[in-house]
Amino acid sequence: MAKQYPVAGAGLGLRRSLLQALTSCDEGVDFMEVAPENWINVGGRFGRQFREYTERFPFLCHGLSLSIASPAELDWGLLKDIKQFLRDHQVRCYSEHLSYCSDDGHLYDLLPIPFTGDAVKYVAQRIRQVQDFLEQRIAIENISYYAAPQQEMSEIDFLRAVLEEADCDLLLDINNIYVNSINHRYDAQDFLAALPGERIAYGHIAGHFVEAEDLLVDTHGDDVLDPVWALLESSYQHFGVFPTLLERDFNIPPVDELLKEVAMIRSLQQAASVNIASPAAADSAKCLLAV
Amino acid sequence: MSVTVVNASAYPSQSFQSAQLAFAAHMRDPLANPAPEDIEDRRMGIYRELVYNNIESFLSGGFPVLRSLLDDQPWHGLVRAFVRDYRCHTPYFLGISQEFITYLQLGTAPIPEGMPFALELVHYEWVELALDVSSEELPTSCFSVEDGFLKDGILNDGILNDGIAPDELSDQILLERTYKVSPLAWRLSYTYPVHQISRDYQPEEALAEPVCLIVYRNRDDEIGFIESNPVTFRLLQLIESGDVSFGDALLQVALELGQSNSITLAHMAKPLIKKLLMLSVIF
Repeated sequence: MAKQYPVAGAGLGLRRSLLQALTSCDEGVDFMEVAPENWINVGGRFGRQFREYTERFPFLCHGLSLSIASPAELDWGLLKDIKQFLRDHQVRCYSEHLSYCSDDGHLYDLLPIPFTGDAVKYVAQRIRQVQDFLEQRIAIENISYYAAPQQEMSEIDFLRAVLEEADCDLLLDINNIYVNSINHRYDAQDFLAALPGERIAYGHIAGHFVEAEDLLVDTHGDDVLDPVWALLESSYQHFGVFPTLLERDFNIPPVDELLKEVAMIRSLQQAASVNIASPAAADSAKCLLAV
Repeated sequence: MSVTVVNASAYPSQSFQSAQLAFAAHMRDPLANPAPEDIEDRRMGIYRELVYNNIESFLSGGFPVLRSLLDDQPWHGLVRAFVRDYRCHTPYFLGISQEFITYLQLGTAPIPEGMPFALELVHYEWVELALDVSSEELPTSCFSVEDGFLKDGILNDGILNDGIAPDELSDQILLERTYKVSPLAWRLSYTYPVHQISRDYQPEEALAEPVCLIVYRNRDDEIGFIESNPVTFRLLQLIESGDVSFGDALLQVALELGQSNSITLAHMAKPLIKKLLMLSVIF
C-alpha cells in the first residue's frame, strides 16, 4: 500500500509579507505552511487574510517556540493554543524542530541540543508527551547546526534514535542536510541513505548563505542552490516522492520567482515518479525540464 | 501574556542540560559567560548573531520611534540588556514587544538620560500593533456613519432608514439612542505627548494635564488616533458601563461637573456623537 502523506505535491511557506502577493495565486502551490506562533491570537486584517488562505489551501504547521529539547517544563499553554489552532484551520500536520530555544526564558532561535544518549531519552519522552496531548503524531525536523556541544554520538544516530524512541514522524529538511554535511564534514548521501524513510511526513527545501567554503548558514534568504536540488532528487529516488515545501524568510523575491522554485520541486517530483515507473522515460522527462 | 513557571532548582538534572544552559547563558551575555571550550569561535559567532539580530529586529520593528531616537550604541546597549537581564515567556513573536515593555517597567533598563517619556512612548507604539492584530471585531451590522450618511442596521423601526444625511437627524434621536463603545477604541492617558514625539521633539517635562488619546481601529482596518479630553473619556466610560443613552450619560457628566456646564455639554454633544460614530469609536 502506498504511504499516506498529510498533503501532496509542492508547497510554499506562507509569510505575512506574502499575504497580498499570493492573493491571486491559485495554481502552482499545492499546500502551505505557517509557524503557528506567528498566527495564534492574530485577528484583524492579517487574521482575516490568513483565514482565507486556510480555506483555499491544505495547511501544515511548523512550530518554532515549543523548545522540545529545553531543560524547562513544556509550555502547556502554548500546546493548548496550538491544539485549538490546528483544529480551527484544519491543519494536516504539526511539526517542530529537534532543538531548543529557551533556558528559563525564550531566545527565539534554534539552539543545538547535545547529541547524547540521555538527551535522546529526554527529548523522545517530551515528544511522546506532546503527541499524547495533541492526540496526533507530530513530525520532527532535522535542524541545521553550527556547533555540536558535548557531542557523544553522530547526528544521524541521534536523529534516528529520537524518531525511533518517540515513534514520531520526520520532517526531512533537505537544505539542512546539505548545510550540515559541509559544516560538519559528512557525506550527505550517506546521511540520506541512513534515514528511516517510512517516517517521512513531508520535506523542506530552502536557500542558504555561504559564509565560508566550510561554513554555510541556513538563512532561508536565497534561492535554492544546485547541490540542494540534487539532494532532493536523490531523496526522491531513495524514498519515493514525498510532499515538499519551499521555505523563504528573507530577501523574498517577486512571487513569480518563488513560484518557479515551487515548480522546480514539482518537476523533480514528476521526474522521480516517472523514474520509478520507467527509468528511460524519466531521462527524457529530465531533458524536458532542463530546457 | 503567557507565563511559564520555571523552577530553576528543578534542573538541570543531567549533564547535557548543563551544557544547554551554559550555551544559552553565553547567548545572553557573551562577555560574562564563556563559550563552550571545544567549539570554534567562528561557529559560536553565528549563533550569537542569529539570536541577537533576531530579537533586535523584532524590537526595532516594533518600536520604530524609540529606535529613531537612539543612536546605535545606546540602542544596542538596551537590546543587549534586555536579552541578558530579562526572561521572555511569550512563545509568540508579536508578544516580544509586550515583554520589552514589561522589562522597561522594571526600571533597570539602561535608558539614556533625557528620555523620561520612554516608557509611555513604547506603550503607545505597542498599542498600534496590538490594535492592528486584535481578535476583537466590530459588528458588521450596526449604527454607523459611512460616506457621510448614517447607515442603520439595528433600528429598523421606521425611525431611521439607510441613507439619511446626518444633518437631517435631530439631536433628539442621536441623544436618546444607546450606544456601545468599540472594543477596538482604547482610551489612553499619557503624561507626555507621546503621539508627537520624534527625533526633533523630545520633551523633558511632563505635561501639566495628561494628554487623552483615543486610538482606534475602524471598519477599514485602519488604525488612527484622536486627541480627546477627560469629559469625553467619562462619557464613554458611562456608555460602556451600562444601558444608558448618550443623553443620560451627558446629564450625569453635567451633574458631576456642576450644572453650569450642561449647556456647553449639550452643545458639543451632536458633533461629538457623529465624530465618534464616524470613527467607529461607538456604534
